[in-house]
Amino acid sequence: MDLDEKPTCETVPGLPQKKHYRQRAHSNPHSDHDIEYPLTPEHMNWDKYFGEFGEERRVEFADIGCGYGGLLMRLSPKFPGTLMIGMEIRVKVSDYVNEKIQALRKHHSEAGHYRNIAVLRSNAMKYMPNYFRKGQLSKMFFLFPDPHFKNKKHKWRIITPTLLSEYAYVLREGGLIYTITDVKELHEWMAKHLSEHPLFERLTEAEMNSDFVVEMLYDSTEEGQKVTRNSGEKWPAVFRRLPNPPL
Amino acid sequence: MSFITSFGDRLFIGSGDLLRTCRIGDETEPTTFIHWNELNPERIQKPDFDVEKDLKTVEKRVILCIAHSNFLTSHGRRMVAVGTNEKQIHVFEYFVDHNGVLVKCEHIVTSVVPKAPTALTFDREDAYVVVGDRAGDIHRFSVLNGSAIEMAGAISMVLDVAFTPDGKRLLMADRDEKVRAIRYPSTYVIDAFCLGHTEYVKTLAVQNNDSIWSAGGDKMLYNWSIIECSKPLRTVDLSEVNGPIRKISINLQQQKLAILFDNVETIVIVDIGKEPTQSVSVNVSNESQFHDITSTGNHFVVLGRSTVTLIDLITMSQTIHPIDNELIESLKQTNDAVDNLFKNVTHNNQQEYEKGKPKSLRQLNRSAGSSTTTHRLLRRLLPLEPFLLSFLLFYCYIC
Repeated sequence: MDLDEKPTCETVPGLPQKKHYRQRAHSNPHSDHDIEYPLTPEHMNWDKYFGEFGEERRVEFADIGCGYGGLLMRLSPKFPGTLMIGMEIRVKVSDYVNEKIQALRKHHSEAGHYRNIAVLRSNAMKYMPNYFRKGQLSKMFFLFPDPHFKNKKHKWRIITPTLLSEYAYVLREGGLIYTITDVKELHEWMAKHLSEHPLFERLTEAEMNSDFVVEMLYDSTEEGQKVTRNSGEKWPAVFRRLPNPPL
Repeated sequence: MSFITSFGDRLFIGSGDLLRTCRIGDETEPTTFIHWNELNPERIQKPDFDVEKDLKTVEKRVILCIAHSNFLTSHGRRMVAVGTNEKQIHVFEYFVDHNGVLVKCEHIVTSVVPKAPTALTFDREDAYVVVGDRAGDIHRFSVLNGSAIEMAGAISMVLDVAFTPDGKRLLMADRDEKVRAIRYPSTYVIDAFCLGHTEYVKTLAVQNNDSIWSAGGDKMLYNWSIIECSKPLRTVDLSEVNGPIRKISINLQQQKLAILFDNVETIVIVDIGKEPTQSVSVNVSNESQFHDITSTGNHFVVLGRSTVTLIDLITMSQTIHPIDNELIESLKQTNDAVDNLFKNVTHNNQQEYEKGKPKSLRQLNRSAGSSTTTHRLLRRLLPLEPFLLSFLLFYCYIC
């Protein structure tokens, strides 16, 4: 099913305008933020995000640092029965995504589109296991993450060996991690740490080509579109969750 | 903070820069375990990772954590590891004669960690020391050569580390309310997150390979199964006590678990052999505050602000172990390395935003509203355009 990929306030009433929700692109993931997170995944009230549609369903895709939510809107019609959550630490940006999803749902209420996507403000580096059970997710997305160039700030990066172990915990066997960036050094960093992690293996070129989601990584997000405008290069890489070794 | 650990009948006390040892039952004051000038400079490792500054020089060396080796086999080694504020971990080996009298102590190795250590433990085979630090990382280093590698971590201060008896799982507690069980040495596999605490988790105790206990800032004591961790097996609510839990210690022989609190003069001893658990409160004579507690034989040994007290778990009688004035002074003076572990949220971004949002949205709506009225006015005038234009031209002509 094809849905308008670039809805505007003209075509969808109540759609928020990005210009009112701009926020600087960096956040300190290590500091104590005022983030409300569930005590355990059992305590998570997904009703608030998915309403009735979420009953009997579990979130399976997580877009980490979803920014303005472009990928979610693109994925939504492709996997209409799958719940997807965007996680974004910036208050204003996550509110923008929420307003946008609400407007889209309202506009398409008859057809019921966009009921499967939602956004929550959180710190994925700290609270992933509070939201998701072991092996709950089948796809995780890391699109154009903050490069944190300085050596000293590498521990702020969203892909580090120790965080990968946490992502492996919430990801099921065979689940996929999608990454893309326009910063070559960051691409190499992510590919290195994911390839070296014993619970992940990199997808081959052929495997990537046969996954139609990969093509969405390039231009679905605002970051991706910005890179295209500046004719920058983009480096995607996808990794599969391997089974745990025997104890 | 000052620390106590034990092995058999031998106690080890670290306080400030003092490191002392004594034996339970001896009527003598603790003696110096090792003098810092006995460190062998050749056995101090240079860090092979980026240290923010070079080796930290400190005004006064302060012990931050202490652990004893497991000594499980006859060819095992009696070792004590001590982490200090210089970001160094020193390992000492000691030898006793057939009467258990200390005959020799030597410095084996010193390793460097990138951040101040918070907790450490030997792995089951005593081949490595595993260290948790303030930055949330777990390093381990070989007792043989001291070279350290990063193994695991959290985006939160690590507050305690421990091993299951089979040595196959490493447990870590952090400031973000989490307890996790990770495989060892394959630390990239996280087997369980034990979630339920609502404040920092300060202290862990291990009952067996699957059963562990945790406690901390929320004054709740939880018992977890690693295999089935979705909710606690048992809960002991200590919220009536007037301070956060600072340390728990388990005595497997007597099936007792002791709980120390911050700035509270009562110790709670829980009988974990009974279902439901039963607790008793114990006051220690001449002591109102406690640093640390350890378990050995049929005893708990409590390190207070000025005393060392043995609690016999069979008779529940207390014996005060004599200590010297220098140690008493140090015990009185040492403070916790991190004085507040509770969350420190300085900005409430979400609330501020939500408070500000109706206002900014009103403004937006107003401007949106006015723009549509202009549009509507223009649209109404549009059919009159030729007329207006000619009127304008006519007006110009007249002028």
